[in-house]
Amino acid sequence: MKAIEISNLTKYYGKARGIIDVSFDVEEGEIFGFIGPNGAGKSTTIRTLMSLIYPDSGTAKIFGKDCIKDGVEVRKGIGYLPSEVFYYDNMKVLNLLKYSASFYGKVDMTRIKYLAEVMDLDLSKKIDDLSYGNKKKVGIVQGLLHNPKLIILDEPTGGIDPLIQQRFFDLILEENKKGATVLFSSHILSEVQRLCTRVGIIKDGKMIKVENIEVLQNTNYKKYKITMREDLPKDFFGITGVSNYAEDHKEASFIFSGDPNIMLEKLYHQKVQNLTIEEPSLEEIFMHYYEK
Amino acid sequence: MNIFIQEMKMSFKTRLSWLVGLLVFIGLFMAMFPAMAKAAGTLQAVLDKFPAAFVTALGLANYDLGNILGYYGFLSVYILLFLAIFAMKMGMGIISEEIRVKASDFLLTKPVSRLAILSWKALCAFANITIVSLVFSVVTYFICLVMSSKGVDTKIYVLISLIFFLVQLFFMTFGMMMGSFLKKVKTLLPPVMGMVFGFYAIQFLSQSFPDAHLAYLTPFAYFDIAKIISTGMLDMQFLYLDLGVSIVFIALAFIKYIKKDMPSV
Repeated sequence: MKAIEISNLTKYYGKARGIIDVSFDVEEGEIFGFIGPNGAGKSTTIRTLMSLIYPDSGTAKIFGKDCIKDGVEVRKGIGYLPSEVFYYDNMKVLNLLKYSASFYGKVDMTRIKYLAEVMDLDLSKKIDDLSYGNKKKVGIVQGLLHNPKLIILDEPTGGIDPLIQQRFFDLILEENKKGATVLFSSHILSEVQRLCTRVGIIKDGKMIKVENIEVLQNTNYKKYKITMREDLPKDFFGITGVSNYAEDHKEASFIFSGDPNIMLEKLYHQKVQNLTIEEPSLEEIFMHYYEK
Repeated sequence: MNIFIQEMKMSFKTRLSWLVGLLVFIGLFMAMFPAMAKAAGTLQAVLDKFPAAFVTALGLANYDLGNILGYYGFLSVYILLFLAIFAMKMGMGIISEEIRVKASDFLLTKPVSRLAILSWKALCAFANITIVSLVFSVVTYFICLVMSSKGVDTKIYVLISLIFFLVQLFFMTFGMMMGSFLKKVKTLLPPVMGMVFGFYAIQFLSQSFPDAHLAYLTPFAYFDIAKIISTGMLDMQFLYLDLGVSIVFIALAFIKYIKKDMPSV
């Protein structure tokens, strides 16, 4: 059975575009990446799955059940982490988690304690006193405490430090091994690449492509910024795999997809003043990806 | 049930502080009753010198300030305002809670229908106004007993308490309706006070111009406490009107709440 089936989902907020005719499936047991720039429609799609908003047309099914009509039944099996986490400020973390757990039957304290320990979360604090990152941790724990069959994460890593991020990814992989399906929305390609088996790319409210992650992984995009001691030789970076090229005397910046050794060899005999190699933004990749 | 318990916990401070405020108010004014009763004759003489329209507009006519229930009736205008603000704040607050604190993505993604969520919330608001009315009425009853040497007519006292409750019911359901229809509710007290005083202003006008139609527009005019004190009877027509309007308000609140798109943060 498919974990998620979305067909021709359309949502406008008044006249403002939310999503237009979005369709894709998520197989049971996979980790599906849902990527796109801010405002592309990721949250709109997810909030429809959670029946926080109602679609204008189209349907969304989770494990074969309609998200709106059978909403209560559907939501029993979902763990959801919203992109912005807000709770009742006056509550203690533990009480909020217990309240959350009470919607799914018996409160499993060992599970709450285990998750809190992994995420390094202090259960005795008031929500109000927590930093943004710590609130996000509360969100993660409350999303996972009932062992959901489907985990929906909307930009989950914002605000949490790399160490906790790693633990969080491990936790998600662990849940996935136990059989949970994961829908992972993000605008950061590298974290999607790390976890997911397939990705769906959404832009301006429309689904552009659903792609196997290997395809994206084999194309190794990096953004290079180079400053030379002398003016650049003419057409120095004119090799295959270079795109978005911009040059200004001694400086050059571009996106290179391919074996990094090729670029390093090329630079080896040059007098380099400064060199940065970084992850390109999603927009930059899209530009590269769809130029071809 | 968990939602109800949670909501009752979260509204504990509001409930307590309003109750304490009300009791302090009534305690202070009731302490003045013996002095007022003594001077009732003089006061009446002064009031008689004011233009009749002015006295009516202030709601001072028809109250025998020398009698404990007459005095209570005279205070009832202020008590009603207090209770109305509390009830409307309760109704509007409980329905807009998740939107105000941006917790919709928490509560509304749980495996529970919006109908159930709002039912528990409405029940909590209802419980709150019931508790506040009941505790206030019982405590005040004993204050009246202590203050009055001639005893208290219990039947009339109960009717007045019932009116307090019915007016609160109107404002609670009205608050719920407003809370579900307004797009972004950021604060509660300013809009609530604005609207309650708006209804009170209509009542003020309706008392000054005895135009019967104006009275239909404001719950403050539904029940004439002075008349109840003298006749011991409720105006049933307005009782049904109050209940009917409350049912319409709450029904609209439910319909809108179940259908609406929850704003993202």
